[in-house]
Amino acid sequence: MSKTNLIWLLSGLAALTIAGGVWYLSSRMSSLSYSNSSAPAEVLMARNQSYVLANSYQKEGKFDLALQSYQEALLAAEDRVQATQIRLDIAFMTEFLGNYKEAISQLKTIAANSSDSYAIARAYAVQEIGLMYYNHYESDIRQVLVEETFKDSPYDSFKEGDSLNVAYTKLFEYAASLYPLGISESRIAYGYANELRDTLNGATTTPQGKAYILLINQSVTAAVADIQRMEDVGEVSLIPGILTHCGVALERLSLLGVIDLQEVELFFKKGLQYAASIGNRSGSFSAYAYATFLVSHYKSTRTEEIRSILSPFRVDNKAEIDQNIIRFFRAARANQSFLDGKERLVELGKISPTFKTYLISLGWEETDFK
Amino acid sequence: MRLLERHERILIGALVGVALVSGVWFYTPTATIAARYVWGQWHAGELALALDQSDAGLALVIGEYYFGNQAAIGKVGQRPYELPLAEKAFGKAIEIDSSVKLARYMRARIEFIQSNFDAALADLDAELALYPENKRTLYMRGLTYAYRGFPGDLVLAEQDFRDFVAWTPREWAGYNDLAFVLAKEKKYADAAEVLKEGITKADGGEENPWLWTALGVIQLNLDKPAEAVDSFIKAQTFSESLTLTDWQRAYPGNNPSPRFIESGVVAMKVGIAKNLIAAYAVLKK
Repeated sequence: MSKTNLIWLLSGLAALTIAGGVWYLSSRMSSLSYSNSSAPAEVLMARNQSYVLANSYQKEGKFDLALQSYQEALLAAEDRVQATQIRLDIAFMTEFLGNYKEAISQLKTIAANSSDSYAIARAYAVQEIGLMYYNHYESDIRQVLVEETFKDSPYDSFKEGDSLNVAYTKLFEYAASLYPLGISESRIAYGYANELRDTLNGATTTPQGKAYILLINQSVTAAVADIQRMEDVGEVSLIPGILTHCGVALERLSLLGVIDLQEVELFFKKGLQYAASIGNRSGSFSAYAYATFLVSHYKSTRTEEIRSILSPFRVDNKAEIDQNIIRFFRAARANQSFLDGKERLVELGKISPTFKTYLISLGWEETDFK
Repeated sequence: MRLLERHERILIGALVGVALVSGVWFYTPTATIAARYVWGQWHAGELALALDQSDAGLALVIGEYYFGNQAAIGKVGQRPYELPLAEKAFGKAIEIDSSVKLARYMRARIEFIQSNFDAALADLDAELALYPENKRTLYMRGLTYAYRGFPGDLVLAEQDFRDFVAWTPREWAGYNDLAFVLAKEKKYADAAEVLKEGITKADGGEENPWLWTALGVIQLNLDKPAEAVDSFIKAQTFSESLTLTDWQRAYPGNNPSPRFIESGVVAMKVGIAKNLIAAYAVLKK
């Protein structure tokens, strides 16, 4: 081989090596940057085997194994963003396993860590503390959750008198101040709508009433605005709940003459349609809430529609019914704090015999409907 | 005499041409005239700044165009908001004429927005040294001290705001920011007095939602929830008629795009609503 040829060959090899190195570094760097289309959980699913395994255990409902795998995944976290995401998942598993005190403590740690935790993860952590309360209907569990949640700063400052509605609304406001998550915003709207109805007795033209209405509308706007982000990061299963909660909040306003009822119905309808479009279980909170809305306002004129919406709640359709709503149906009968819910369920049972039979299969009795 | 070769003649001609063009370009106002033309015809800021050799005023105009500023008030969304280019333009104005009025003041406002407080203070001090009669610079310097927050900065900020208010007692912003600094110093009673003075003396002060909101917050800190409720109710009432132009006038340095302005107005109303609810809650206890 001549000297010239050798130089050409070496130059070619050097160029290839440099190009390969640049490509490797750029691909590695781009995969470690996070965005809506490349959320930390997505990146972890592509790069962390233990995380993938934990996720599949979680989907199968094997929360203890999922917890173990998430802990292993944490050891392989490549940066603080990934570590925070995994710590959030660990806290969720701890909650699902029933260790509520420990879960709240873990979530508070994530929320308080402004140097290691990124803003949206902190917001998720605070939000989950609030959702934990609303996802449990048993009085003893709720008592533990309330005590643990509001025992220290800044959460203790959210309590005003005995009103848990106010305390949790402020908690969701705290979450939204870290990042305006749709769920938190819809809960804020719902919380203020309750205050307007219960504390102010529906006074909409007083300064306080006007303040509540502004905050409700603003929170609904912010909740809807977050839907696009949720779609981008694959949180679609939570979107029907947001639309429905906004609907419930706005329904309170419509009863006070602040907003048109047809405008409110759109939220319930969209919630139900969205749930169907993404394959959520058809027996859901969205279906129950929409049926309740129709009963309250169009009882005699839209009976068939109400029955149709309630049709997934059948004894032979258990696989299609959300576990959370089942627990609510059970609690509504026994727990005095869900009296409103019980009355609405009785009314729905009277309209739909199939639904009534389903409730009876959950422990309700014929006499409840008298 | 030997005749020059053809290629030598071409080379000499080219060199003479380059020298002539350079001379005209650098020693006559041609480039600046070109800059004015480029700016006037196409609003091409980068190119105009590159061409501008001697017109500090043109550089200032370009800077103000990209910083939004007063000229954009009432014209929502019609002005670009490109702080790096605006900063470059003000820098060019200073480079052309080191004593040009307002360039350092304007550049300091951008540096303040970028949290580059030390650079902003250096520019504001230089502007004050050149034009001590323009006490608007004191307002900006007070704001910069207040946000930089080094030990002793609040005292300096307070003094600047006091001088600014004394200079222009009919402008509400001075009272508002003086009260903000006093509150940071935990001098709540003084802050309340300043705000009440602003409400009485400033143009439109009695119907100014910013002053009433600030007063309500101070009254909450003074444990006067009933008075705070009254103040927030007034703030709520007056904020209802707040226009986007009002908002832009209050925050001329902020991004003038409609989205930012609208969200600013909403954020203010939400803030008043939350404060009002909080004041009622304290009152109920």
